[in-house]
Amino acid sequence: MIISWIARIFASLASNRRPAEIAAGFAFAFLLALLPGGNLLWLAIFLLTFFLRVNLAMELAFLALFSLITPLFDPLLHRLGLAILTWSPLVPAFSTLYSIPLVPLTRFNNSVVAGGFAAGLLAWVPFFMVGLGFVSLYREKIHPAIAESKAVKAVLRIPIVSKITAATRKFTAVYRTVRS
Amino acid sequence: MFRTSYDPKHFEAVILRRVYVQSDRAFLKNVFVTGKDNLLSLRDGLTAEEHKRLRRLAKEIKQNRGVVAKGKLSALLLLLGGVIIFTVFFKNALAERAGEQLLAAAFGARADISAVIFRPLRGSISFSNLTVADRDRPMKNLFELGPSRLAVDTWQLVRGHLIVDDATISSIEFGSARAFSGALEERAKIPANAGNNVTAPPSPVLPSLQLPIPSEQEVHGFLSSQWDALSVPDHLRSVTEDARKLATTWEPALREAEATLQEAENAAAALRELRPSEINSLDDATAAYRTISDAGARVADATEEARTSLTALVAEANALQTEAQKTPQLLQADLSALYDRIPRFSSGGTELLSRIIEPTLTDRLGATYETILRMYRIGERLQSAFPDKRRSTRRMPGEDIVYPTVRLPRVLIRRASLAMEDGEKGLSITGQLTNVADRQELAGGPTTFEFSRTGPSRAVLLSGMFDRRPDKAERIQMQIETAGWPFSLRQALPALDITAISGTYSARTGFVMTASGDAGGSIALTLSDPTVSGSYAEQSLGDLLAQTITGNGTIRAAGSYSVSNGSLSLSNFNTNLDEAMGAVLAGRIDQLSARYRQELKSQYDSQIEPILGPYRTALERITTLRARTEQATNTADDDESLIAQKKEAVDTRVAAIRKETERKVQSELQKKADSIRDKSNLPKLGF
Repeated sequence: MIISWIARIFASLASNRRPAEIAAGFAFAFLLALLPGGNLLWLAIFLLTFFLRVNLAMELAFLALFSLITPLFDPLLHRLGLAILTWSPLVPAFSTLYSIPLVPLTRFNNSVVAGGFAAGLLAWVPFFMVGLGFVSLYREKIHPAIAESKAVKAVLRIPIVSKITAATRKFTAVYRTVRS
Repeated sequence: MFRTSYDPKHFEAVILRRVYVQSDRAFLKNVFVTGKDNLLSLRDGLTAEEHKRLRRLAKEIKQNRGVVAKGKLSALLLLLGGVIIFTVFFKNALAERAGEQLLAAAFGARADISAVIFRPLRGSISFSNLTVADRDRPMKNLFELGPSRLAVDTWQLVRGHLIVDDATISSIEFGSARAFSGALEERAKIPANAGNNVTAPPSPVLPSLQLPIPSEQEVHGFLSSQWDALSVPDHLRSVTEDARKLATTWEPALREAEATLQEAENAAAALRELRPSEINSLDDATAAYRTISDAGARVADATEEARTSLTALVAEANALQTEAQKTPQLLQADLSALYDRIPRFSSGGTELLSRIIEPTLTDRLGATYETILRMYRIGERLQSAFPDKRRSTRRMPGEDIVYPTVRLPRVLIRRASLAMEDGEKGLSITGQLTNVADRQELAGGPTTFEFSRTGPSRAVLLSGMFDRRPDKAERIQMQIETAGWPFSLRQALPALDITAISGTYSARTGFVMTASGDAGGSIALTLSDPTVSGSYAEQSLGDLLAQTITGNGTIRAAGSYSVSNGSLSLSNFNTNLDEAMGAVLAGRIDQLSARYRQELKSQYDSQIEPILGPYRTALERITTLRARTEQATNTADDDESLIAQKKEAVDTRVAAIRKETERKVQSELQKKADSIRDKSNLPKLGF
């Protein structure tokens, strides 16, 4: 499973997929990781990515990765969220939102949710740009360099790595077949 | 696949821009060549491998088009459409199922709804019948509703809140029988007697309920308990003892005085022989005087001595008899005190009524109390059925900002009304329920209820509120008013040979349960046209009760009660039955009192008699002593009188003798003087 996921990520990185799709997966992963789960907002954003051209493999992989570290930011997110939620100019708007059916299910009135959402939105564009740059860099520099390096070729001969490579190729083939 | 020719700008924008791998871009630039018309087209002589690569690239270019996954979105829209169509077609069945599950969770028993019609756009749910089984009696329904209509907030329903703005119910029935068990699966094991009312054990109160009928033993015991407080026994003992001492002391003295007086009387008797007429000379007179003087001195001495002693004796006897004369008064005072201390038979009236009424109230109020608690528990179950849980997470919980807006509970019935008319039976039932909610604090107020059932001859009005808001002290507040309901009390009456007490009753009950679980209230009962049937004997306790109940026409009772640990106790209970009972009891009490007094007097007399015997004997001795003393005194007086008479007679005789003697002497002297004058011719002397 893990191998499959890794293969999927590398396949998408090395394939002809649009860099923005991968970068969006990266950015959405961070946004979703910052948001506490179990609310409609998280679910809505997660479902949104299903209907946008976002690389889900990248998103899920980085979501798992970011979720390990984002709880560390919770105190900051709480303070940020509290500042937003109690900012008097916004209180009437939040009160209106709070009265709208279903909206309270987003738990936007929770300080950590609000802080995470705000921070995630702010970080989305930088993360997206970073993702774009990384994909370009990977495709133009890293991937060819790695592919041609002797060390990688040696590593590729290691059974587990060869399995990953095979899986990547296989997945890429299947991926292309399915998508076609 | 690719088109046959491309404008170079279009090729750059549509094809090359969507190819991100440099080798693929180079490949495309290689296979597309500029023609004579300045258009890009595939060169000839492409290999199979190049065709394959072109097909792959064409697909990837197509997939890289746009930011929305149209295929997935279409699938989602199809799915949503299917769900909507399914919901529209099966909305009634879904609503029925959801409603049954909701009610089952709320009431802890099976719920069935039939012929549900759900109109989401109109916001209405109607059904023809709804039954909710009684959790504790699975073969009975807790309630059964007839055709009803609910006005629901569809938006809130989507949010997961069942908000019923108005419920109109055409009929309701409580405790109707079920054809099958209403227990939920986990409660399917029903006791054999489930669904039947368990007969309460007979009250242990009435069989022990007896008026204090005086018995000899009771009088004896009562008298014994009071004996030390009585004054007569000590008084009698004191007088008897004093009389004994007096008699013992004075009897010898009296005998001595009597002997002395006897001697004086003997002396005086000798004087009786003295005949003054036989005294013819001074010598005789002198002798008579001497005799009289001796006898008189002797009698005077004896009389004086006797009188001195007897005067002291009489004084002491008088004092004793004066003391003895107090005895009747003391006896009466003691009896009065005893009568006053006789237990008051009338004090048992209220207690008697309370003991009779309490089991009935426990049954009637207990059932109501259980119903109320059950309804309250249903509210609690509603709350627990939809817990306000927060999912546990390793994330920081943060702080929820509650904005000034209305939060709604999961289930809220703002108003439910019931109006039912039965022309044939002349029955009218109305009811109203407001603010039924799983979370009372979000409902904006307590659950209030009003229920009125008016028939041709009877009526019941029930109103009150449940308040489960944490900051409220009173949890349940209720008033029940009933009128014209048949009353039939059979419980525990056979002990009094009474079959039943019947009539019609009206009641007004207040009930309050606080947050701490303490409950209590007031109750006022009126029993009209009471009748008592049974085979009780005349003058029996049953007869007493029957006379009391039927003799007053209307019986009223009022008091307060409290419920603690499931048991009901009455306090401050008062009733006109007590007065009625008092009136009936008065005659009985008079009889009982008379009997008791009679018995008490008899017992008192029998106990005082052993003391009175010596007392009387002692007093008789004193009386005898006194009589003897008086007799002796009289004898002395007679003797003195006799002596005085004799002395007077002797004095008279001596005077007569003196006169005779003087006359004789004068006559002799005259004669001698006459003779001398004659002899000397002297004039007469004129004697």
